[in-house]
Amino acid sequence: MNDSDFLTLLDKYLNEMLSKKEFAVFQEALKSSAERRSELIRYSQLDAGLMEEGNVLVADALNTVSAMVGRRNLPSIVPWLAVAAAVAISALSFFALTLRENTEPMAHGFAVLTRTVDPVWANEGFEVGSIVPKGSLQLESGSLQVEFFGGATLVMEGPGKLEILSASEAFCHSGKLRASVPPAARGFVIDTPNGKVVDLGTEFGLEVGDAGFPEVHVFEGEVEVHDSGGAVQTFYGGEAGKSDARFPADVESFLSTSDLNEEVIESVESKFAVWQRFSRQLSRNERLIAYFPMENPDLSRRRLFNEAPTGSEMDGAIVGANRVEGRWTGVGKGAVEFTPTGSRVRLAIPGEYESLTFACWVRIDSLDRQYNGLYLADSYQPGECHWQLQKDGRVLFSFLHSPKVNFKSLSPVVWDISKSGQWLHLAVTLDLEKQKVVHYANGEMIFDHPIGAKYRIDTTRFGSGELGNWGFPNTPDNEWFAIRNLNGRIDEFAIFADALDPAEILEMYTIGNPQ
Amino acid sequence: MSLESENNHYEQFVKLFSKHEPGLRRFVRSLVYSWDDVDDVMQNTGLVLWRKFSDFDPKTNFMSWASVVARFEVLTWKRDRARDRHVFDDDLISMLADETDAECEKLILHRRALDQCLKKLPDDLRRVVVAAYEPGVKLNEVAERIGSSATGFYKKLRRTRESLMVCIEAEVASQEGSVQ
Repeated sequence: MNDSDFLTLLDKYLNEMLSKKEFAVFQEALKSSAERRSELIRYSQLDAGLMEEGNVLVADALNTVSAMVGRRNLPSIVPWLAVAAAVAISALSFFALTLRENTEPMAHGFAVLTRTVDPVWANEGFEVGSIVPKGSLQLESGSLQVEFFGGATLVMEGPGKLEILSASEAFCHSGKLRASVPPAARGFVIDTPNGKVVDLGTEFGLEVGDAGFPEVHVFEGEVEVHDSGGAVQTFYGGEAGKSDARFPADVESFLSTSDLNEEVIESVESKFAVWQRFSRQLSRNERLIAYFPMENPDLSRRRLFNEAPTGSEMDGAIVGANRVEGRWTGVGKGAVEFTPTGSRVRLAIPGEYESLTFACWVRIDSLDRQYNGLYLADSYQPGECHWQLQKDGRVLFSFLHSPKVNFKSLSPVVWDISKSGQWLHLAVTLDLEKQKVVHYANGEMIFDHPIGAKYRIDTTRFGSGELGNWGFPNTPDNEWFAIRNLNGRIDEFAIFADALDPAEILEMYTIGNPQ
Repeated sequence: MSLESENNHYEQFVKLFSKHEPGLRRFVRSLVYSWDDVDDVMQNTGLVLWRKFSDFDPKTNFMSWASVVARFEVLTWKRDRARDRHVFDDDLISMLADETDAECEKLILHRRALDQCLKKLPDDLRRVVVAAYEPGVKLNEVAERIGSSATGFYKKLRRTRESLMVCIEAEVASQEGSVQ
């Protein structure tokens, strides 16, 4: 074997991609040459060194040692671990800094979709809160509000087709728009098939019919219409026109941002009422272990009410977290925000269970931590679960099989920075009968993960644990804790003593979805 | 043992183990094929070290003691493996373990040089490192995510490792030079 063949095998070895046959050849090559063994050793050490740099050791150090020796036997090591963690951080900080330099989070787009009412999309639609890139927003019916980064706001009524060209320019192929252009956004341009509307700081309506000619109604300020031949007409407040015709502006015929807001509230209220009925019915479900609809978290008593039949014994204790508006805008329903570092909702759930389901609505503003908590058992004893989001936007569900055997199930990516501020429904089922874990996002099954025989468990437990964070300083002389608080909100959280089927998860999503 | 001295005992172990864990992991990595194998062996090794910790003489070197245990754990772990797995035979494991031990001081210099070399790595190659060594993610998953350009990714990864190795060896050679 020549050196280049050897290096190819070595590379495949490090990538864990050798076939059985290649592995045998590789082994023989190593046995017959000290130089090649030295090569393997140096590359293996490089591989391990890179792995160290890529790893954030802090949280793992706690896990490894507590899993290894059993945390209950180690009352006093945890403060020390915090020191170890600090050392690990300093060793890693160079790398973390260089990572930050090169991987500053980026999002792309020119506008934000801020409201919709009963939208029926003619092409692929967007969720409220989405950043809208270059391309078209096309409605069959319903209406939407889009805010350009340049400062202009458009309300569009379906049917219509609007193409976003930049942070301060759009093309209206057809449909009805109302533009609100504050002074900061002056110069906002809407192109049409026959001419271009240039706003000089104002509020106006625009309708583009089948022939493609713009009909402009100026409610306030000044607008220029440039026709395709280059002629310019100027319209002032109260004036309207189409081609050569002039007539008074008709404010009533264009939906404004405040009209849309009212429509949104009406639509949310009716959907909210449907969800309330569903939620009350759900709270009688005997399979529930705990259910926090969060209609009204009691901030003065720092309590999150358990509405499941298991009753107030399982109420959550709100620590540090804020009560904020939930996913139903304007109806007064609460949610809990875990943005301050120490925030959490403490839970104590006694007893032993078999299969489980966790489900919640979550609004992620950003994933700042290596792990961002949804539900985590404190001490992570065998049979206990952790449900959290990784920094990379994947959901990690894990349980401890036995003191050194940890089962991990990592979903596909469910979140990236473009989804910041949007509400997302997440669920995971642990089915001990079928020995599998299934992840769901927005009602859809996204990952079905069989549990290997090595990890088989027959009993699950909770004990003490928390929502929205992890890291509990568990003895008086230990005030250090890991940080896994979720930078975002949780609205409605349910834990079932059963693996729900896909139809049940979909129903929770569909009825619970305010949009 | 009193509770207090028992606690001291724990503390001392955790302190030493945490300090030497990365070195031990690098040692084990030279002997086994996959990162899953490394994890398995490390878990066993941690437990055995803890069980035998009262035998450890604090005046001696923890790393040498631990690497003897780790080598033994690789061999024990290997015996439980199915034959069709990618596992080196006992002779080769022993040779690699001896040679890693013999080179251990130089390998520490290599590890330090890696920090320097990562700083010098061009951005595009650094992104490859970040993708390939992202915590908790397997390389084949990374390649799957990348999809059609996976081949290119593997090529770049190889180039990255090779250029890091060239840099490390130059760095270590220059340090050795300055000592003489």
